[in-house]
Amino acid sequence: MSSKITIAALLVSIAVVAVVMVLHERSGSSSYSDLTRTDLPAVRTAGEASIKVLPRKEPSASSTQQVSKMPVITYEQFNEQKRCFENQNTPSSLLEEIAELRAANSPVDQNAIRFKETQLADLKKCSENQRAATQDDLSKMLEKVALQGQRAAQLEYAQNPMIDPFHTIDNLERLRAWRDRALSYVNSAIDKGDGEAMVILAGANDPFRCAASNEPFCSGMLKDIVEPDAEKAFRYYYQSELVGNAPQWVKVELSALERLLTQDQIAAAKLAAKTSSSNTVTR
Amino acid sequence: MKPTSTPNDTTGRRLRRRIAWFATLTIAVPTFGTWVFWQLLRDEKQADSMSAEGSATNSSAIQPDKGASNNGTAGSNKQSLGTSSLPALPAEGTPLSNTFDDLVRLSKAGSSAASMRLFSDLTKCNIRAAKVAVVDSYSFSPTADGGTAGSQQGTQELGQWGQVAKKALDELEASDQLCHGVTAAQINQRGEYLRQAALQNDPEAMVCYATSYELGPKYLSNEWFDYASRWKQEAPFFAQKALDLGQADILQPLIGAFTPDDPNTLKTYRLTEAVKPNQQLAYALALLYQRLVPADQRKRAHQDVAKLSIGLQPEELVAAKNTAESLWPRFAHSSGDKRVTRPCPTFIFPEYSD
Repeated sequence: MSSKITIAALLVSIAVVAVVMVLHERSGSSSYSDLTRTDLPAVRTAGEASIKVLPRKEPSASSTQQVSKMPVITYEQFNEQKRCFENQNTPSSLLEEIAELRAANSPVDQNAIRFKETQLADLKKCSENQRAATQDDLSKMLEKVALQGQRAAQLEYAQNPMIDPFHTIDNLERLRAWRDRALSYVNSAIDKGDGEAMVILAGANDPFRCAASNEPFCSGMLKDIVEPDAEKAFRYYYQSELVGNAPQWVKVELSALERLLTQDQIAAAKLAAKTSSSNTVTR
Repeated sequence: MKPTSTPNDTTGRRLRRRIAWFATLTIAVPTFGTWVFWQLLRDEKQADSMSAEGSATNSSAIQPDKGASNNGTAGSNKQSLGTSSLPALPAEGTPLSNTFDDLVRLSKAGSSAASMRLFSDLTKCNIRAAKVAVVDSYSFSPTADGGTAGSQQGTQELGQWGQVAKKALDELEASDQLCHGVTAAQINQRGEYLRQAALQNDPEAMVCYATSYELGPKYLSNEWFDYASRWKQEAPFFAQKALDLGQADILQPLIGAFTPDDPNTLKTYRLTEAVKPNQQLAYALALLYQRLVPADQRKRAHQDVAKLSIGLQPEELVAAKNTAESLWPRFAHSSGDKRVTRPCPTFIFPEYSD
């Protein structure tokens, strides 16, 4: 009897200590500096404000849950939605342009009129729902398609999750999910021998930020989570050339990177690229 | 029938219970005590490492604040909060590695000026680090000289753009001295010092903190996510407090934040993401703001007032005017001050300065 009581009491006390420890760790107090622990003062400053600054309403449901509950979407459906979204304001301006061209009544403009009419007809296919979509909807669609495993969508998402930059703070959860997934999507595509993914990862590592490409985009937001690393950039640009179909500017970027690296580093990068390529081929 | 127990049984049971409790306490208390001690020790080490990191040189004694200029923006209502007995801050521009420990100590002792100095200096070092990266990038860039990709000219060692960037870096010599030996980990803490200054009742810090979540740790790091989610809760609080204290440079960010969502409006300050829109309040503050801005900037302010009045009912317009009138005495002292239009020390948002 006494041993049972002793064991029970021991278990209870250990459990209590464990709970206290877990709660303490969860509070984050030991994982950050002293400063972060300071709470806001409970009492506001003196002085009657005739204006109240109220916080925005919290989103009703977790945004990542919303994405996982969405129905299956194809990459084509997403692209169609994207086209409708990006041209939301275009139909009226297209109509004006067509009217102007018709008013000019020049035979030279006939081709331009036909082109714009086709464009307009194409845009008119966008449904009411597609027209009403927001950037948030589009961003969730892209995330959903990427989650479904479509490689092109994953690479697009990895570079830019399309989260509305003016509502970043409402999308921290999804932004964190993007940060945790982006590189794995790119690496998985590289493992399958995807040259585009190699250029994307090289660009993210490139200390010159794809300067030779004349594209300001250069691996998009991946740059925010990947530190510049000339050797890695060299390796993946080089690997994309081995795979074939690398853009012309990659050669220029490689020659610029060579000046940052030692002969040993270049040799190591080339070897790593060749090894990865041969592994990809044999897989 | 109830079982009966003899006095010997009862005594034995009591004894066994006592032994059980004794055994429990013998194990649990030292375990708990050790854990508490370990936590205290770890916290102490963290606090020390935060102050000591990167400051390899011995910290100098704090000198009287001879050259320290007031960083304050419009209508700074800094409160001493009983910190007048604290030593003055070191002169501005003093290498941070020499003064860091002392500034941290002062900040911990309640000096908002020390907290704000830490934030400002670390932010200058952060800007400097970014500029160095740009210079490095341009110096070796294949198209640095404006040549087309692949051209001989494009691969020159230091192109025209590189020279421009180099010049920019040369201009940062002062920060070179200020930032020598400052670590990335220290820079990562700058937002915490800004927040600390805000908590220590520095209205300028309140505005600066409330207007941006990008002045904290490295963007998208785990620390940044923690910082940003806490900021979301706190930004409206500090904006309110700055408003209550009559800190005029909160008006512009608040007008933007109260303005209802409009895709065509440039949302300049992050406060927009944390505050519930309210057109009537936006209009009221815009009325107040146009009275405060210097004459040469009034045209734009008038346009904003006109735009915000659209869609409001007559009684709402009257109510907003009354609100603006009731707030005026609190802000009148900032009238005509150019700094009304510049939240935060100018170097932090140089693109918004005129």
